[in-house]
Amino acid sequence: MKLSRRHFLAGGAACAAIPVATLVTAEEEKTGKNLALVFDQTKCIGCEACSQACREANNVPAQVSRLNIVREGPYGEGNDKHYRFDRQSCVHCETAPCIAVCPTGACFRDEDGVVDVTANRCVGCQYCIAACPYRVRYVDPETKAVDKCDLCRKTRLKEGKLPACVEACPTQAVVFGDLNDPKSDVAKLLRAKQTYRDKVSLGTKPKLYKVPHGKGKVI
Amino acid sequence: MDNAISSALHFETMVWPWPIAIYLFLAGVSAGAVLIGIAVKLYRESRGQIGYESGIVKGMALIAPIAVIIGLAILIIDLTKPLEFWKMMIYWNPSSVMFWGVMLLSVYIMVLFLFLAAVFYTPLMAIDRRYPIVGTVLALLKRFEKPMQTSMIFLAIAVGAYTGFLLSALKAFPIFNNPVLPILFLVSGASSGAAATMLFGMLCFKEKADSQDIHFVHKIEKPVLMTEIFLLFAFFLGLVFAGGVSAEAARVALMGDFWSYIFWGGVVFCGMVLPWLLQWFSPRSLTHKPGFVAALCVLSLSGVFALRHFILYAGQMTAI
Amino acid sequence: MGVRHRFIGEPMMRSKFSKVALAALMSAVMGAPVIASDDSACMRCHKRNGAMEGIHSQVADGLSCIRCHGDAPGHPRNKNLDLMYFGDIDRNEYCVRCHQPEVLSEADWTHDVHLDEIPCSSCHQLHPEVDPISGIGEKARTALCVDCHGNMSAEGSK
Repeated sequence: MKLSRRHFLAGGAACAAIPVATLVTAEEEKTGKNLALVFDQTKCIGCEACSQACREANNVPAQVSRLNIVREGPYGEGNDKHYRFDRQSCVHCETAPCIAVCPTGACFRDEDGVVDVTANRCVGCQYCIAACPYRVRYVDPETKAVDKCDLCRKTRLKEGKLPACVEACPTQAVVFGDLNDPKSDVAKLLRAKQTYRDKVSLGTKPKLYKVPHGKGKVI
Repeated sequence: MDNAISSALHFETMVWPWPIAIYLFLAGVSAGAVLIGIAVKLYRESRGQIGYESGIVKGMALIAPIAVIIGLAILIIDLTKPLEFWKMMIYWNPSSVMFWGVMLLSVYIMVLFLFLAAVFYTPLMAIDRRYPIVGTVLALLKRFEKPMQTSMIFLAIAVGAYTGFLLSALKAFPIFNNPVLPILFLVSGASSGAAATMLFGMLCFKEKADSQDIHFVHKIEKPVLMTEIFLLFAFFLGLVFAGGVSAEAARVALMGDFWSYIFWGGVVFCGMVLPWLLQWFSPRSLTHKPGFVAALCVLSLSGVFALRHFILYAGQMTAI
Repeated sequence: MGVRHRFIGEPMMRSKFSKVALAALMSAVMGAPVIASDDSACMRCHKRNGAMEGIHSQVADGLSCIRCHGDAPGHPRNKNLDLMYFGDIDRNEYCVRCHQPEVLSEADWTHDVHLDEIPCSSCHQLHPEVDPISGIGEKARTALCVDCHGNMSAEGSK
């Protein structure tokens, strides 16, 4: 089936260079990073390009997913009809319950502040799945180890690329960067916009910041 | 109704299914049996009787190791990688309750066997006639019976409470994340241990239904049951007072669908009210019948069995 | 908004609101008999759009071109005379007469947020046997979102 491209903008297509958030800071330092995501609900259109890109980049089996876009709505009537979209994925807590409860130490935080799982150490007790207040962990049906979003640290970050979801998003609703670097896109955005995080009262210090949808109308 | 049951057993926030509840139950039975067995042993020794000759102590020797080993086996089978359970022994994470549980249970099982060997020193010495080395080892163990007994009391309390701490570390579930839970599990474990030792003492070791030891266990059982009722009361009242999601969790658990019936019918009625009513209002001729005492034991065991399932499932139903 | 739309299979005919076209469309919708027209005249120029083949060709024993697009005497010669063109947002009201918004919403939530924003024809095609958008895969569907919204936000962020 042939689906030719549709452009809304007559002239915009040619020079539509997507501004890409830069990962590399001035100094190539391996430590001291605290990687985080900002999800802008005012920009998300619910296309799920992020979750598809995530699945592809990280070979996520079909039965499970690392990243879900949760749609809520419709709200409003007629012209005002709109939906709200939320991102559901690992929030890379600074005090992560999964790391605290894992009996074998398979759950860990790397030097850049990314929470991940050593599949080989995981015995599959699923204590971490029960402990995670964000409900984003699953048992990989192939490896039988627990897995979840690792901000693409094992795949794309190593190659100096952005996480798959960040690059795939057509509206730049996901911004990625280092909280410790005041010049990072994440830091700039957090200075400029009001954000919130889920379940902070549990003391988990999550690092998925969310710009509230406000009315939730697209662009 | 099928739908209601299916939705009570499979829901979105559920992570741990029924094998975990059975493990929680069996670990509690084992710890409770050890506590009751040691209490009976001390009681007999204080009256100049020999500890190991009691059917209750023998029942403890049978139930305590079997329950904990079956429980652990269920736990291991329930892993997604059962064959890699040994990694729990070599990779350590001191911040994990489960890590401490693995360590605790290993020590518990080890000391339990050594302690039982010391308690049953005299009958076991029969083996010494064929294998003299056994006698040497037993004699050594017998010397450490007292310190082992003291450590067994602490280990059993720790195991009984551990199953509660295992759940109370889960901060997203108000019913689990509750300081009363470990104490509740310890106390209900003790009452299940009492029931199990009496039941198996009578079934396997010819303990009389109106023996002095059974009377003694009944005497311990009453305050234990009272404490259990008060703890359950404090547990849910605390949840209600906490408000918000906690109160909602209590509401769903006590006034919801399937699991509230298990609680009121299984835990409260079968496990507590019915045995007590039967004990009080039955004629003395009946209460001394082994079948009657055994029935009461089965009732209170099923009450604790229901409590573990109720807490595990109802607890996972409401998450923050 | 100053945004110009371009569409697949870009329809050539444009028209101011035409009473003839409306009457034709209405009767088509109502299933009333209409004057048969000779489509071959239209097809001489408009080959690439193809004849009406899909489900809409079944409505009222087949639709001729002018029943939807209207007719204007001197159409090809007079460049200022436009016929009914379905690439405009205000044409959506004709579609909505049969396709109730509630039903559209149930079929796909994206109708809710696009119905007042873009012409139906930017996603749907009536001329082919099967509307190419029906049964498109998850990925192709997302690619459509990405294509349009990507350009919009690129424009917006400049």
